[in-house]
Amino acid sequence: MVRCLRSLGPMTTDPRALATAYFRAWKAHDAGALRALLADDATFAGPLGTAGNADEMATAIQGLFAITTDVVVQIMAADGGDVITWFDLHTTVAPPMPVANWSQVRDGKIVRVRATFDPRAIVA
Amino acid sequence: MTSDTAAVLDEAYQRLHKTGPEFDGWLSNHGPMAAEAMARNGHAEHVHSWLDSYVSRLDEFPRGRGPVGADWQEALGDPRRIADWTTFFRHETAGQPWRQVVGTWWPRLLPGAAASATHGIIRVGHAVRALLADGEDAVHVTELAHGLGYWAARWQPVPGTTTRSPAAETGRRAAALTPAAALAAVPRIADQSGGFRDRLRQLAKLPGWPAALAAAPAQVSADEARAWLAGLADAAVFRYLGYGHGNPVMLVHAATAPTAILRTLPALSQDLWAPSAAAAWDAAAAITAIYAPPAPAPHETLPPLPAGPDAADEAFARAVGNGDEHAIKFADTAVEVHARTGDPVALAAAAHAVALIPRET
Repeated sequence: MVRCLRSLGPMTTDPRALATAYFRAWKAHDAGALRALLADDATFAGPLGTAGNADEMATAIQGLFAITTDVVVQIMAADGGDVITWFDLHTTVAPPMPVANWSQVRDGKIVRVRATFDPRAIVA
Repeated sequence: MTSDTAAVLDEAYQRLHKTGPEFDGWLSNHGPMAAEAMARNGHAEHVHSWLDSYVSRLDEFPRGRGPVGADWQEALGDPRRIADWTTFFRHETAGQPWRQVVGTWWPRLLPGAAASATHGIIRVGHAVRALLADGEDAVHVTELAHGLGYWAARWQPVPGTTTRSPAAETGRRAAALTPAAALAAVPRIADQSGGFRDRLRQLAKLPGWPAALAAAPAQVSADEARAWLAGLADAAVFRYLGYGHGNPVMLVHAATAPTAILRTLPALSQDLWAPSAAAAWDAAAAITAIYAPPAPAPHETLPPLPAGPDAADEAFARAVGNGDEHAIKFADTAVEVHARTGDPVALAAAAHAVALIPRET
């Protein structure tokens, strides 16, 4: 775990840096690093599923590793503990799709993620 | 189903119980499943004419080697013991209520749900549906015994599931991915050739396979498990429309296996529902991993969405007209998914299966 985190850069509590590390971990298929960024009671809701805690959330994203080929952040905007990120999700099963992600950070951990995109190309 | 229709099904079962559960060495005898599907969907009058053609392809019921007894675990997964297992379950079901037999043996057989490309559990699912719909019926119970015997003799785990430690499953974990997303995220084996068991073996070394298996819910409530399982059956039927061309026959089972398990839930105690949903996921994910194509079919090659009040009946009738056992069984599942969701994509998937699967004569 420590090795994974180290590979993604030093520990930080800055919301924007945490969001950046989140997408970097996803892109690197680094489940340990991704889980370490989440508060234990973190929640997620998006077109592909919902999660009620950090373990469920990490399991879900890890499940997507098999089809994720790249995560390309286009723009990120932070306002206090809120970070909005527009990124392109590249997969093996669909053309790159734009995704809007709203992450909320508290006490140096991501506590809430909401994502929205058109999932039909993936699940159809 | 009327009692007349149940009688037709009994006659069909009696004809089929003279035949083995497999033929030509390893092909599954789909007769009992297709007959039940036709009878259940208002085509009882076609059952015997369909069987007249189908039975000619089948082998005689095999000979036994010796009784299955206290050493039953050694006989699990031994296809040479098919007749012995069937005799065993005929005795079991003769001596106690069939629900009790299912309650005892379902959790023992569930880890081997991949048996014979899931045909064991599917045959049991059809038999249980017949019993739940028609009530106590001796011939229906015999069919259940044949199904359980086949499942036990071909018992086969999905790689990666037997090493999933109970300790890892002690915490409640809802399924974070929807069933549709989880199916979409299943990795594919590199070598998409060979038979079912050859392909299945590749899962043990497939990157991402443990993560794919983790998509199923763990330690959730019975109702949550049932809802997720129904969603899995729905998603697998919908997905067939785009991906069925990869292997039109085998990908049918990604939908029919979860459906068979879903149909069995009412006969099981609720503490078995969550592990049953997990086993359904293991089976559906395995079939997807080893048979799904890399990309969906072009949209313009797919059938239009059926409409109209008789669309479901017409979809099933087309499958009966086609005559292929997999087309019939898939239509049976698709019609059920359509009834549950109202989504015409399910009926389009059934039509697509009819187009993709030519009948063997």
